[in-house]
Amino acid sequence: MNKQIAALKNGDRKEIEKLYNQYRNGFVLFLSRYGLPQEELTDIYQDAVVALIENARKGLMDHLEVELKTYLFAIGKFMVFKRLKKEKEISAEDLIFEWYDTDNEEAEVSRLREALNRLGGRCYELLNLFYYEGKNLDEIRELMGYDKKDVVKSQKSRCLKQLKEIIENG
Amino acid sequence: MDKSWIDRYFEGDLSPEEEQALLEKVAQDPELRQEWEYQQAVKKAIHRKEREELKSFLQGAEARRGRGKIRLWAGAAASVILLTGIGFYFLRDNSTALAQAYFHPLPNMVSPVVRSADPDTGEVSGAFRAYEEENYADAVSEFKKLGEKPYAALYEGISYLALDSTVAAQRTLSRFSATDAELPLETYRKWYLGIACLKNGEKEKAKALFRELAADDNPVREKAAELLDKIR
Repeated sequence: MNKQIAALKNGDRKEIEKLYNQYRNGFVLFLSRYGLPQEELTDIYQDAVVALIENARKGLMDHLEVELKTYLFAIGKFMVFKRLKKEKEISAEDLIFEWYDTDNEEAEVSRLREALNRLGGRCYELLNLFYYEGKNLDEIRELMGYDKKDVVKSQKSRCLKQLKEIIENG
Repeated sequence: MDKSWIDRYFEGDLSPEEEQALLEKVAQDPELRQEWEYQQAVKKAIHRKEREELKSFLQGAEARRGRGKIRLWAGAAASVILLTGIGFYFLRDNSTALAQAYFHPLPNMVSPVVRSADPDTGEVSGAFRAYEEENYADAVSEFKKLGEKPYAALYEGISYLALDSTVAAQRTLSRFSATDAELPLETYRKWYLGIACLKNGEKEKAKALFRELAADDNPVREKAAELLDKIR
């Protein structure tokens, strides 16, 4: 795996900022032809970097066949089209990344979002590895140093329950 | 079909036919549906949290871009003024240097006590032996084997810091929170987490931790106050 991608996977903030600065101007220039204002392009660039890092953390870029820059710019193009409501014009080749849609927020998601801030660190790490990074229970056992997969499983149920209780107890 | 199918669904482990079967079952069985919808909502909420945090960091990165130029200019000015004997280098970001200056691995305060009380002393003393010999890579993997004990996580985090694996250190040190009964551990956890944040350039987070430490009575109170004073 590419060293830069490995660092992004780790959530290394310095690397992320370096990447941000590396492609920022090129990205804005590349997408300026679609007539969006500069501030909006900057905003889209930030969303594109967020999507890129999310994909890296999910392991979807471990065997990336195109250059990082190409990948990032393709995400950006997709996001610009989405804002311009021209999704239909996006060709299949442009859709080389995954984006888990959270746009249609229900009230429960918002409450959970707040409750996550109050969840214990180890619980959050476990849930994050499972639901965000998409690791399976075996991988989580290994990463978090648990003895058995069953322990991870019961720990996960316990954390989900704890989260529910945080909401219920206000 | 039970709840473990839901786990397998989120692991991406179901075949298309199995997934279809699960979704049909979810549509019919209210209890299963409730569980399934709850976990979907948790998944969305975690995505939202991660995205919001990263986005706000990137907004900061955008804001820092402009300031970079000023800092460069200030750096040039500083080098001139330094020649005249006035230390003007205060304008530079000093987080990494400070983090390095203030980082000293915590002495082993655990193993001698544990040795008499804990039957599995083999692994415990092995971990601390590696730690005391400054063999931090081995120490990390040995501490991991000790499971969920807060002291093991603390020393694992310190070992990561010694290895310059700042992000791993932050992760490990955020993982546990010791209770009041284990107060010295909690103090040191905050201290080293603060150092890790500082080293990673997350100044505000670091400051918040040091502020907490400077506010109450503990072994690192003075150091925390001193450090707070120096962070620019």
